[in-house]
Amino acid sequence: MATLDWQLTPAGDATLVELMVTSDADTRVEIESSLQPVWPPRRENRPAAGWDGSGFEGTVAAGEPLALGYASPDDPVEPPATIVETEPVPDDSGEPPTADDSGEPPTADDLVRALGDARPPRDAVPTPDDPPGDAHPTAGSAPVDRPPDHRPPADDPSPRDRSPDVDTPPTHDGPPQDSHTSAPAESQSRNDPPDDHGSAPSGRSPGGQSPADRAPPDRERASNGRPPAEPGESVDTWLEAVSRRIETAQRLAGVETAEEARAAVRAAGGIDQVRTLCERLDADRARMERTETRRATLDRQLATVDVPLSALERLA
Amino acid sequence: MILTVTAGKGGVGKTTVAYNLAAELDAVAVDADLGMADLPPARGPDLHDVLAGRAAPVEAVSDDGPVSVLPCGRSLAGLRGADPAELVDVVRTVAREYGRVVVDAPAGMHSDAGVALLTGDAALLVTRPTRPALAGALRTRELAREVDTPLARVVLNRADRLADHGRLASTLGAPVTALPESERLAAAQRAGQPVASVAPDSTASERFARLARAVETALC
Repeated sequence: MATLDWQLTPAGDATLVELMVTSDADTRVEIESSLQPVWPPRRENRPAAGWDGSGFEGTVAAGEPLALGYASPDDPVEPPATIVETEPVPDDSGEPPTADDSGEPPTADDLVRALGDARPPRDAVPTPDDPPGDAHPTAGSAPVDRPPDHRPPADDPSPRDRSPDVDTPPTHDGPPQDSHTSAPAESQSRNDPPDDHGSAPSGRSPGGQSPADRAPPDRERASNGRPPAEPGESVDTWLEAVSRRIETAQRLAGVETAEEARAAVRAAGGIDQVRTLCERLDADRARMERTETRRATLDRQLATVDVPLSALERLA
Repeated sequence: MILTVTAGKGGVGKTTVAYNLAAELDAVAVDADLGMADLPPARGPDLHDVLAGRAAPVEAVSDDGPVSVLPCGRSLAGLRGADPAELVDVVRTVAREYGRVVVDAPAGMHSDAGVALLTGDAALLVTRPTRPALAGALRTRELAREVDTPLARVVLNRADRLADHGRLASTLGAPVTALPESERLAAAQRAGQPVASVAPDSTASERFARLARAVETALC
């Protein structure tokens, strides 16, 4: 029989939840949070093993309490979570159970969590917008395990990297708070969850891309109307990609028979890829329009700008 | 069919094997060494762009050279923006379109090496007859076991003898193909050509053809 004990801590606009699961026999438990959405602990930019959008699933060993911690923008409620399903763990291995002891081959996300993200830290990567010598003050000055009430504004373009990267309850790192155990917690104002944390439980958007890896709309707004600067993408690369997409689109548009249509769709990677191609072409048109506006502005500025070189030379 | 060419350490000839094997198998060579790409680059979007969601997998395959290649970018920013976990879906999409894919995996024990192994239907482990390379091969063999990817073949590169590697085969658990030290192979790789194109009568070319047949038998 698994039992649940909890502690709620208000922290700014969020509620921090600590859970303690105990059982007198090895038991697989499914825990659902009453506070939604769940902001789970993260490892290597991904939700820690066992966490999904609504709660946690894992194994609690006999006599060894399982400590869990997460945050939510929801108001505190009692109880913050419930055990919705339990299942005894067959005792045939002789080994103590672990949270990810499913016997299944790991997924790619499991591997990244277990072996570590091989990518360079954000601070190490200069971006075109950086002034010389300034390497991401926001990311660089913030502690990795900053409590949720210190999170930067929602339009920060690096949501994944701001999440706690540890598997411990965020309360451990937070400032002193009024904690409530088994008692109604202090009611607090409820904010809409910022987009980045709202998508945090799965770590990926429905399109299969991580939020941090796509250029969010905020980035476009923040760049003063410029075409979005994709990290690692030069204008040449983008134009080359557009050129290839147009070639594919022209091939698809030029079919005359059903057989040609089938062959063209197959060559493009299937009908799903054709749909994606159409979406990308729409995005290309929009970006091309923004680029054209920017180009025209620069063109006008270029036509009028005139550096008084000889005067400057004399004065210097 | 997806074959992941892997190694325990860098510099053992993994990319050379992957490129030549892709040529023999008429496969797409995917440069999954996200931080130290070495397959020939090509114009247009690359694997960094694909893993960041800026390009479709098939869009990034270049058919211009002697071997179809999905190249990888060389920039730090591109590496930062690429999600390694996406590699599995990307490679499977390319395999659905092109049929055969050879993945040039990164060396080492980091997640990018693990995900590249996870992507493959089978792995081919490249090593050299040196202590550090063999120690790395054993570690990578264990990583392949962890992700349930069978080891189809071991390539002993720059071997001083071409036969009788029974002890190595039984230790690593897969048949061994030895490749001799070959200046013609090295020159072909520098020129971005498979050795079968520039020196079809060389021992290296014959070995790659035999290796490709062995892989086909094991996987198809």
